[in-house]
Amino acid sequence: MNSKHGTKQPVTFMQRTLRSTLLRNKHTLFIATVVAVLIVVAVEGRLTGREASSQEFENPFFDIQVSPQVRADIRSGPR
Amino acid sequence: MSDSSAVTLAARRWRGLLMREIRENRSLMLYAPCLLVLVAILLGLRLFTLFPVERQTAAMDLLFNRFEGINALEIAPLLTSAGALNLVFIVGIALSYLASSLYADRRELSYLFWQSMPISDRATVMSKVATSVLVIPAIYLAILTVGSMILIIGAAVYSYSLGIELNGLAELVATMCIALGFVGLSAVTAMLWLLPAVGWILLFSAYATRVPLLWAIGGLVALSLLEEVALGSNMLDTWIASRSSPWQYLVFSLDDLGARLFSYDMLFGAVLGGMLISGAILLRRFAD
Repeated sequence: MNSKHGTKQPVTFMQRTLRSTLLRNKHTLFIATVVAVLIVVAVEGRLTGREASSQEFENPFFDIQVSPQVRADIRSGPR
Repeated sequence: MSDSSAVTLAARRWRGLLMREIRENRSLMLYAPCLLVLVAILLGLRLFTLFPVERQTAAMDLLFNRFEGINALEIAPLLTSAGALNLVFIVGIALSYLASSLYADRRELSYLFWQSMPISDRATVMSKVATSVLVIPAIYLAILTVGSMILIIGAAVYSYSLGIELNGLAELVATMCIALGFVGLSAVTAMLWLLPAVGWILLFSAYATRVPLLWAIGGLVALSLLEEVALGSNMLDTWIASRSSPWQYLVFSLDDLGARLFSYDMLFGAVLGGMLISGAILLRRFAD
């Protein structure tokens, strides 16, 4: 009987299938991981209608407003 | 074994794993941030000395007296924005560390030793994730805090020698501490936000036989190009571009921190990162 780690615990059909396919060697495992991630990204992108937001450079949290007086202080030297 | 002793054992094991990462990557985690902060301070001082003494006096006067009586929480975001440049260094150090971590284990065959120890592959890989998300930002922030303190003490002494009153010193220090706290929170939030990138690089670190960082970048570019050419779509580019704005992980107040950490995008990124990290854990079974 097949066993897990040399114990008497039976190996399920799912484990046997995974070992003979995805976990066969490092290349199949690597490709399976990348493909799974790409599928999830594609499906999520399609479902949510994801759009690029990298063009949004405007700061949504606060405005930087240096008063003219402060700028004048810097330019004019000590008070 | 009782619950408390099991927790103690797990905590000791995790401390050992994290200390191992720090010891093995001292150059990247300790010396590189020290040098970066030192170079930034020296560069700032050099630029400052280019101005005439009148301008220097005006700037110091502004620095130490404009802060008097202000609410530190209101002005801290301004300093946080300036300090956000440090996130580039933190993320750069973390990704560089991740790219070499599992690869170095395989190259020097030390993974055989670690697999002979009572430590699972999952704990080993997760310790590398925890190092990049928590330990590297914490170390960098500690060094940045020391550097900022030295800089502020030096500026105060210099200002005092110029005859400038230091009325707003307490408020300036409070503002700086709050801003550094926000930079630290931003760094951890950024690393959590970048969990897919963390997982992607770890996967290549566990797989590639040469220069894993270049393979990780090259692989991503190749997949993007392949999608465009073969399918005529750009889902991958859109997904990356939708998560590239720095405002998605810069923290300027504690009010929305919870909402950011448990936002849909953050959790979805964590799921993808989890898938990639699981792949990296499973890849450690296979010897080169």
